[in-house]
Amino acid sequence: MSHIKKETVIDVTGVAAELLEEGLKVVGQLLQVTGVKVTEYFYNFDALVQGSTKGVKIILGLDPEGYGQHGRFGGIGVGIDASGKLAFLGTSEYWDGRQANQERQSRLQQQVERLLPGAILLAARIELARASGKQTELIVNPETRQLQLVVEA
Amino acid sequence: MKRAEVITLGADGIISSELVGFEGAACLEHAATLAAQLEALGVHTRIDDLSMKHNPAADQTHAVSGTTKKTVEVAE
Repeated sequence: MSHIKKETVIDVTGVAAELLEEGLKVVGQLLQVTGVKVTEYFYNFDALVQGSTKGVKIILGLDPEGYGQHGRFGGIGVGIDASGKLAFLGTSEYWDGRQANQERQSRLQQQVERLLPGAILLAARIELARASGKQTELIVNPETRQLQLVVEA
Repeated sequence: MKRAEVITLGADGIISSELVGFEGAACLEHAATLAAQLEALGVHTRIDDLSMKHNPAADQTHAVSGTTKKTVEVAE
């Protein structure tokens, strides 16, 4: 016998930076199956940005195509700021002014914000399972565009 | 049957889980324990629905495969 549970994540604003980081990595895996290019970098006007910048630790780069000065989309950086909160880079300080790029950036940010609560839930379940010595397996399903986490209960 | 939970996160952000191997109240206890553990990590959740899924092969009284819906209210 099995049970089906439907769940909504109401709030994740109080999670620790480490859990937020793991949640962002889960978001990256899910975005990849929806066709988003996921990297560890993005571009500003004249350079590749990776690691930490402007006080933000970059966890994901999304859809970087090239340097902004050539009119190409530089992508966005998704990371964690000094206070441990979600931060996006690639906005006004890097953006090349094209409306299409601004809209693309906005869409990517919305995708991250929509997926992050559920992704943090998965990351939290992995952390809880590991803490109690239970097995987990994260399965990426490109056909259904879903992530499945199997947890020994 | 070995207990397991399969949690699915879709590209639309919707989460659903299948709990396998839980009988009766054990399912509710598991959900309540998890909710408390998640709260401690700062992850606040609400269970919208918890339904029992019958396996016709294992339950001869159910001639047609189906799902019995039972909504469980969980205090926020």
